Amino acid sequence: MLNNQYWYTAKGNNSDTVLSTRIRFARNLKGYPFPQVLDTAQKKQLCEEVKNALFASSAFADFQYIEMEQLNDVEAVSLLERHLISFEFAGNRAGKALILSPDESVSIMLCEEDHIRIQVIKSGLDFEQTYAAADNIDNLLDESLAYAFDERLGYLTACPTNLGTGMRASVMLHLPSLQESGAMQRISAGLAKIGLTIRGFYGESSEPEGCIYQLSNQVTLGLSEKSAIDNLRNISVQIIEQEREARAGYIKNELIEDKIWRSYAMLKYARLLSNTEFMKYLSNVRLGAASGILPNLQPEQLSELMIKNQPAMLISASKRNISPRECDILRAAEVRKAFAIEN
Amino acid sequence: MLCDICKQNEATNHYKKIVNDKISEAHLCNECAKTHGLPSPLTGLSFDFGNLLSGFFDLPQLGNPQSKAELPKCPACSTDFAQIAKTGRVGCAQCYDVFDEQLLPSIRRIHGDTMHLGKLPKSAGKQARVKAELISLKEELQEAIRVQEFEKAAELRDKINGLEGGAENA
Ligand SMILES: [Zn+2]
Ligand SMILES: [Zn+2]
Repeated sequence: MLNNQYWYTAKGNNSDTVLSTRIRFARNLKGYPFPQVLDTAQKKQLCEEVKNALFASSAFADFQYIEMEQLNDVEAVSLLERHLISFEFAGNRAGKALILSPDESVSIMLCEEDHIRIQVIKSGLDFEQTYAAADNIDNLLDESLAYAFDERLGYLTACPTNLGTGMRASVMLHLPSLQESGAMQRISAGLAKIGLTIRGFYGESSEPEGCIYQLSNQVTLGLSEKSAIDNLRNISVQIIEQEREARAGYIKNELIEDKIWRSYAMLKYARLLSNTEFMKYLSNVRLGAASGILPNLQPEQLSELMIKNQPAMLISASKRNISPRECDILRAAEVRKAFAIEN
Repeated sequence: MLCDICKQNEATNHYKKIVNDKISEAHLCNECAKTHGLPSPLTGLSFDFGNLLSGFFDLPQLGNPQSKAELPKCPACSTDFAQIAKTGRVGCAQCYDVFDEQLLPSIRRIHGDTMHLGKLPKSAGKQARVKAELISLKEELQEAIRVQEFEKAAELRDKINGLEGGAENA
C-alpha cells in the first residue's frame, strides 16, 4: 500500500466496532445570503474569497482546491463514497468548491447548505484528535474571515437544526450482533430522548446496509461542544460494550460461525459481486475478523476493501466507463485478490 | 403520488431510511430531487452505501408552507416565510431577526434551548467572551469541588471574582 494514512486504511482505536469518527462545523460569512439564495456566479465569488483567505495561510499550502463542476459524476460520487463530501454536494455541483488535505482527513465544502462546512474524519474512535483538528481549522479560518454569529443563537446556519455550535459529531459503528438480536429498536428509541440520533440506511433489504450505523449529536444550541462530545462519547462506549457482549454470545452459536465462514467463502471465490451482496458478506466477515474466528484478517483491512469497492471508486480506478455487470466482475476480482494475499 | 416538497409535481423518486426507531420515506419529483442533490441526476450509479451518511431529507418543520399570512419578506435576501417553511432553510443571517417570532417555537422544539453555549468567533463582542469564560470557569469550579481539589477551586474562584468585577466595570 503506497499511502497508508487515509481514515479507511489507518488502524484506529476500537476498530472491532468503530469505523470512523467525524466532526463537522457549519459556518457562514457575514454579508452574503446563504447558498440556497445565491446564483452560480455569486457562489463562485464566495468560493474565491474563502480560497484567497485560506491559501494566504501557510497551514493550507499543501491542500488541494477542487472546483466541483470540473468533476464528472464518477469522481464526485467517489468523494462521497470516501465520506469526504455530502450527498447534496455530490449531486448538485455548480459553483461549489472543495478544499482537501493531502491525507483527506480534512475536507472543507464551500457553498454546500452553508457557506463553509469543515469536516475532519479519522479512523476508529477518536474524539479528542478529531475535534482538535477541526477546532484548529475553524480558528485558522476565523482569523481571516468574518463569521455570521449571534450571541443568543450562536453560529448562524441555513438550517435552524445546526444553530449554536454548528457542530455535528458522529461515529460510524459496525453493530451486527445488536442488529441481529433486535436490540437496535430499543437503543434508538432511548437515544432520541437524550439528544442523539442513530441512523442506518435501508437499501434493497429491510435492514441497514452492512449493519453500519451512524451515531451523532442532534442538539447544537445551548450545549457546548465539549458537553455534546462528552455525551456522545459516553453513549458510544456503552453501545460498543453492548455490541461486544452480544458478540461474545453470538459467536459461540454454530449458525453464526457457519454464516461467517460461508460469507468468507463467497468473498474468496465469487465471480460476480453486487454491492448489496458484497456489503452483506463483508459485514459477516468483519464480525469474524473482529472476534477471532478469521484470525488472519483485521477489521481495518476490511474498511479499506469496503471503500475501494464502492461503485464509483471501482469505476474511477478502472479509468474507463464500465457497465454494472463489469463492475460486479471487477469487484469480485478485487476481493478475491485481497483475500488470496491475506490467507 | 405528489412530491413531498413542492406538493405539485408527480413524485417519481422514492427514498427510504431509518432514523432512531422511525422509518422515514421521501417521495420527490425530479426537480426537487435535483435541487436537494439526490441521486436521480447521477444516473447509472448505485448508492447502496453512500446514502447512509446523509441527512438529505431532514427538512425540519418550521411552520405551515401553505400559510398566506401577510409577513414581510426579509429585506436582505427577499425570502418570505412560506419559502422558509417549505424548504426548512432560512435565506440569510438576517432572516433570524426578521422571522424571530415565527422561528423561535421551532428552534425551541429542535434544541430545547435558545441560548448559545460554546465556542465564539473572534467577531463576538468582549462581553460575550467574558460571559462564555465565566460559564466555563464555573463548570471547572463545580468539577474541582466534586473531586475535592480545594486549592484549584480557590484559584478558580479568584479568577471568577476577577472577571465578574471586570464585567461590572465594562
Ligand atoms: Zn417537487
Ligand atoms: Zn434573509
